[in-house]
Order: sequence, then structure tokens, then C-alpha cells
Amino acid sequence: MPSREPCRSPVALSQLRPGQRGVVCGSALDPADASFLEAMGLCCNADIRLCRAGAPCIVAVTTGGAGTCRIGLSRPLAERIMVTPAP
Amino acid sequence: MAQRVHPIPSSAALATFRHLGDPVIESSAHDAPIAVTPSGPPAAGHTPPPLSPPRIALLGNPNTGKTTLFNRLSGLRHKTSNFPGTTLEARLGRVKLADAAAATDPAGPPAHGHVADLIDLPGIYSLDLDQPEAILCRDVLAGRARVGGGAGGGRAAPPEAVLIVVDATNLGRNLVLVGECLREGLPTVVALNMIDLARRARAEPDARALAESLGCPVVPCGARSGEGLDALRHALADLPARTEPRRTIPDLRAWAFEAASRAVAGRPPTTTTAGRTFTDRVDHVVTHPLMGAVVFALVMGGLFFTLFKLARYPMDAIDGLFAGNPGWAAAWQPDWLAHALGAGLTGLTRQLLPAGLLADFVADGVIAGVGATVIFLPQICLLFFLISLLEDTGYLARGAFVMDRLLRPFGLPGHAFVPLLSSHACALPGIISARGVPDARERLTTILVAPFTTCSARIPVYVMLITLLFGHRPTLAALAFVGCYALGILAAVGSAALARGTILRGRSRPMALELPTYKIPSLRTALLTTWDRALVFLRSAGTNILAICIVLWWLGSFPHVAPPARADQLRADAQALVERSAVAESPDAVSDAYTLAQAMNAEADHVERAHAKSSSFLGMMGRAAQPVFAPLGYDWQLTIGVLSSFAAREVFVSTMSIVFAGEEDSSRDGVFQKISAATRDDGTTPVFTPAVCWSLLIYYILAMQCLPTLAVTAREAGGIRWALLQLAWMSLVAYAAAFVAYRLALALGA
Ligand SMILES: Nc1nc2c(ncn2[C@@H]2O[C@H](COP(=O)(O)OP(=O)(O)OP(=O)(O)O)[C@@H](O)[C@H]2O)c(=O)[nH]1
Ligand SMILES: [Mg+2]
Repeated sequence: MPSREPCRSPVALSQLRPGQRGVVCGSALDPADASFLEAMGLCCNADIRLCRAGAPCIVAVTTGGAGTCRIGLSRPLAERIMVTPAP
Repeated sequence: MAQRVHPIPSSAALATFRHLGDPVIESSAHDAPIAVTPSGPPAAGHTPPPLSPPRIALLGNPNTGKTTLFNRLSGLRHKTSNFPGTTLEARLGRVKLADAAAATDPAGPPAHGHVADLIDLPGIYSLDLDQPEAILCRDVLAGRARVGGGAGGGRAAPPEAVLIVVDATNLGRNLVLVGECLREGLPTVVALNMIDLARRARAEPDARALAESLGCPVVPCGARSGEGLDALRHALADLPARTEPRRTIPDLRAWAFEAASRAVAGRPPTTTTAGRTFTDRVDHVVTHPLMGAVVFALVMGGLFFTLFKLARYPMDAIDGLFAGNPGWAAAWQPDWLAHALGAGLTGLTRQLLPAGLLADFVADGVIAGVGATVIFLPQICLLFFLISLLEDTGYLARGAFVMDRLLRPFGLPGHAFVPLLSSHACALPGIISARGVPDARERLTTILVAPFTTCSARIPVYVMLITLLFGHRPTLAALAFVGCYALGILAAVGSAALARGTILRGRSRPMALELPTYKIPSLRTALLTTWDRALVFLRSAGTNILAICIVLWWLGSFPHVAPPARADQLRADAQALVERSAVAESPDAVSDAYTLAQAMNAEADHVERAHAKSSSFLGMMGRAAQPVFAPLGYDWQLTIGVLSSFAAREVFVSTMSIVFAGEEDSSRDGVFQKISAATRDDGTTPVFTPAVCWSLLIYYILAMQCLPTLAVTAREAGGIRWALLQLAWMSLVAYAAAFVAYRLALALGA
């Protein structure tokens, strides 16, 4: 998941507060994990909302229109996904 | 990273699956990496036979309802559950298309009788992923996979069309896969599934607008309720032409999201709430390190408590049907019915057939043997019913994360949870679902340890032994049941840790899993699953178990030997007693003499039977092998039980029932009374002392007693040596643990 534009003030996904929204802006994952997460919808520019912090970390990903899906991530993954928190 | 592909199934393992009733698609995948060309030329220049129906591949993201739809359309009943990654193999089913449309379609494939072959596939997020599921889908689409079994008859050709099942509540991401197929020029129909859920969320996509954006037919449907199926049959009958132009879609995601947004335009988005939703709150609790574990334990404990509480009544009824229950039957009218119910099948056989070999064979071989297994039908049914309800809620994906934390220290990833979980029903699908474990070493570890977990074939043995130990204390019994499951899991993870620390050392991969929405379980699914499992169980009781029972009965009844001297002596004494009392005057003396003579004759019968049994072929075999199991506390009769369970553990209870058939008054008693009253050769020491029960229980929890599992392990692990390692390790652990349990129980005075 290469980042397309420089992130403004990116933080790790694991640092968001529950309920907080953000936009995924990059990751430092191994390629196999990255392509799997990307196919699941957790890719650059994805709108996300953190549902549960900690391990597992649960994010809701908005996928166009009214659709969402929930993805559970173990801590090592959540620590390597960078997001720009929504204001 | 290297391509991971599963080896070609061996014909032996395939036979196992056919035996399970599933047509299997053999993948042509081999160790070389597979080129990603889904629309590539068909393998080996196959041309479909002219009269075979067109084939439609079912694609879609995991958990979008593909199998539910497949089942609805084909009338088959493959497993569905609210968990991403339920289906891991390709399966074939025939679907009837709409007549009218097919008749008016002169361009359609020739004379296929308005039917098509539907291929259910594993759920995938993208065709391009480097995952066994995606590889299988690519193989099927490219015609590299051959249809085996079923009606299809071994044909490898690309399907004529794909039916993509999309989740209407998560349209954007689902449409990416649609784009991938259109990009490859595959004729595509889109089933807009879960329309009921989208409607409830007031975000029902506009199918017409969506069809326009996608440029392919879109049919709204609800696979669970059956809504929209007719329209789908029409759309499939109107199959798009075999070759469609490839589309150029530069940015799939943007394309998909835009189509999704346009389809739901004007409808309010559902998740504008910045705060926490109901699902957030539930998830927080059930995935919490502590509360999550408590919930997990409560759910499992509750499940087995219900199992024990509720299954008693139908079990007693079935037991009565076979063994007879005069007290209960007396209330029935007319008299002959009460009589028949009172005698039970065993008693009726004895009354209807002339005494002799045939009556013995039917009563002690067939009825006692098969009856002893069939009695567990309620338990098996209830287990599958409750598990199906639980799976449908969506809780299990959360449970996977709870287990992830618990499994990591043992060198297993959270991915191993699914295989280990399915192994709790049967190790065969469990080992197959280990394909979902990404790392090769972790996958191998999972395959090796999965059979330690409690499969449903162990349930009869557990129930029998736990009933012997805690007859009428359901709370203790439920605890013991949970304990059995826990021990199986412990053995699995302990062995995993050992393997990962020695022969399968390596780093592990972090876990990511989609969490399905919570759903109200489908009663229909649960009932159908239960019914199917009941049939499988009864079929096995009527075939394999029946055959083993007949063999065992024969081995236990022959060769005929002369009655021992003591029996002859007892009978002669009884006869003399009766004759002497005939000349006595007082009626009291006569009746006393008769009672005594009766007792002596019964004793003579017992001595004779015990002698015959222990001189039979079965007795000889049991005696020969008994020294091996003596340290575990088993006498030769139990040794027979353990030996006969080598190939299939569920045979144990039936074996015991046959071995102990013909004990005095046995035709009056149910399975449990008969078995709990069984004695060793001396006629007084019970066979099933508490210490022996514990030892047996531990042995059956841990031992590898299932030939099909060994075959599947050899196939999935890629070598017979892994299966042999599994067999050796499990046997060793079982023997050692049973020995310790026996000694411990004896020392504690059990
Ligand atoms: N409410 C609702 N639930 C549905 C519908 N279709 C399927 N389901 C439920 O969705 C869950 C998943 O169904 P499956 O048929 O197993 O899904 P699948 O796509 O085969 O899943 P995988 O094999 O894991 O890829 C089950 O709990 C179904 O009962 C539907 O139209 N409406
Ligand atoms: Mg499925």
C-alpha cells in the first residue's frame, strides 16, 4: 500500500481513540499482509472509524455509498497502518 | 513470497470426500507457481461435450451468502455460516433455469434442458491475491480445475459465466471483484444479496442504476428468505454471450465506489454516528481480554449444559425402544402396543424368533450393536443444532480474536482458530480449512494437532463414560464434558508449542479478519443442518457400524465350546433339588426349592456365557492384546473395545454393547445399565470402576482413532510421514496420559 500523497500528521491506527475517524495514508507492512488488507478495503484513502482500540483493534471501513465493513486487526498490524485523523 | 498451492488430492483422500457426500473439484494446481490468467485457454484443449449444461461459477467476497444462494438454487445443503471463509472447496450443483427465457433464447448453448451446473467457490476479496482460495478460483475460471464426482463427470473447461454474489450492505468493496471479472471479459451476472438487510438499514441500492453503471445484469435477492430467486433464474437463462469484450477499468476501487455511491444515491448513509454503535459495544465486551474469555467459557458451558439436560429425554425414549420399558409402556393402548413397547425390539425379537443362533444374532449382534450407537442421535442432533445457531450469530469471528491471544504463545496464529474450531465437529473439514493459515509451518502445525480436538464421533464415548461417572448430576456432568473439550484443546496447543519449538520453528504472521455483522440465526439453516447430520449419523450406524457389529458378534459367538463342568454341575444340582421337593409335603418347601433351583440355573447360565465369551475368537484376541492395556486398567473386554475403535472411535459403545450382550437379564436393561453392570471374568469386579472410566475417557480424548483423518493429513500436509508422525505422537500421548489418570484415580481412592 504505497502512500500517494504525503501525510499531514499521520499517526498509527492503534493510536486513534475509539469512535475517532480518519483516512488511511500508508503502511509499513509486509507485502502479503498489505495486499490482503488492501483487498479487504483497508487501503490508502480509505475512510475509517476506530470501533475498538487495543488488541484486537476493530475498524469500520466505509466502502462507497452507504456500505461499511468491520475488520479486526491484531496489534502488530494496527501499529503499522498510518492514518490521518479527521479533524 | 513463494506461491502456496495445495497438492493434487490423492485418490484415497478423494474417496474419503465422496464418502462424505460432496462432489469434489480436483484442482490442477501443482508445486509450480500458477500464472494469473483467469481467461486463459482451457487446459489440454478440452471441448465440452455437446449435451452438457453450461457451467456458472459462483464468485464473491467471503460471507456474502454464496453458499446460501447455491443451496437455494440447487437444492443441495452445503454448510453455511456467518463467518468469512466457510467454504474452502469448489462444489458442483445443478440449477433449473427459467423455462420461458431459455426457450426464447436461440443463441443460448444447445439443448441443455434449461439447466446449468453451478460451481460454489470459496469467498475471495480479489482474484489477484496469493491465497489458496484465490488460486482455486483462478483455476476454476481458467478451466484448469476438473470437476470430479457428482453428475459433471470430470470435465475441465472454463465456466460459461460467473454469478457474483455481492453484499448489498457493503457494496463498494464487493464491486471491486465484479470489476476484476468484467476486466477479464467474463460474462457476468450480479446477485445483489442481503437485500433484506440493506432495506432494513434504509439503504437499498437501486438495482437498475447499478446495472447501468456496471454494464451487466443485476438481480436483487435475499438468499436466506428465497426472495428474488425467480428473477435470478431468468437472468441466468439469458446467459450473456461466451466472449464479452474485455473492459478497461483503470482504477477498480474508484470505479466500484462510484458505482456503489450512484446506486444508493439519495438514500441516507447508515453510519453517520460518530459515537459507539450497538455492535461496537457488543464487540468491546466479547473481544475483551478478560470479559471475552468469560463470555467464551459461558457460551461453551451453556451449550453443553443444555446438551446434557435436554438430550436425556429422547435418549431414554430411544433406549426404551430398543431395550423395552414395561413401566412406561403399560399406559399405552391397545394391549398389544403396550406389550410391544414393554418388550422393546430386543424382547420382541426374542419372542418372535425361535431361540437359537438367529435370535441371538439379531438381538445381541444387530439390535444391541446398532441400538447402542443410535441412542446418541439426540445428543449429536442437539450439538449440531446449537452450534449452527451460534455460528449464524456472527459471534465466532470475535471468538477467533479471543483465541488469537490465547493461541499465540503456543506458536499458532489466530488463523488456526477456524480449523481447530471446525475440527470440533469433524477433523476432516478442520484439516482442510487449515488451507486458510497463511504460513506454511503454522499450517502444518495446525494440521498435525487438529485431531486432538473433540470431534462429534467422540461424543458417544464421552457421554457413556461421563454418565457412568456422574449419572444424575447434570452440573458435574456438564463440567466434565467441558473438561474433555478443554483437555483436547490443551493437548492440541501443547503439541503445537512443542512442534513450533522443534521441528517447525519459524516466525508467525499477524492476524486480520473481517467481522461479520451480527445476525439473528436462521432456524431453517439450523434445522436442515441437524436433519442432515442425523441422516449421516444414522447412515453410518446402518452401514459401517452395523458391519462391525456383525463381525464382532460372530467373533464373540464362535467357536462354540462345551459348557464348563461347573455349569453342568449346577444344573444337575438344581434338577435334583426340584425332584426331591416334588415328594415333599409342604407347599412352602416346594416354592423355596423352585426359587433356589432358578437361582442355580441362572448362575449356571452366567458361568456358561462367561466361558463361551472368553473362549471365543474375540476373547482370544482380547486376551492376547490385554497385557498392552493392563497398565491402563483395562481387562480383555475393554481391550476389545479399544482395538475395535482403531479405525473409527465411535464404534466403541456398540462394541461394548455387543461384548456385554447376553449378560444376565440384559434384554431388560438399557445400554447404560447393561454396561455399568458389566463384570470382569470373576463375575463380581465391575469392568467400569471410576478409575477405569477416567483412564478410558482420557485415552479417547487423546488417541488418534480415525483412518480417514490420517488419509487427509497425508494429503494436506504433503506426505505420509506427517500422518505417521501424527499417529505415533497421539498414541503415545494418549497412552501416557491414560496411565497417569488411572494411577492418580486409584491413588485418590476413586
Ligand atoms: N439476512 C440475510 N442473511 C443472509 C442472506 N444470505 C445469506 N445470509 C446469511 O449470511 C451468512 C453467510 O452465508 P454463506 O452462504 O455461508 O456465505 P458464503 O458467501 O458462502 O461464505 P463463505 O463460504 O465464507 O465465503 C449466513 O449466516 C447466512 O444465513 C440474505 O439474503 N439475508
Ligand atoms: Mg460458502
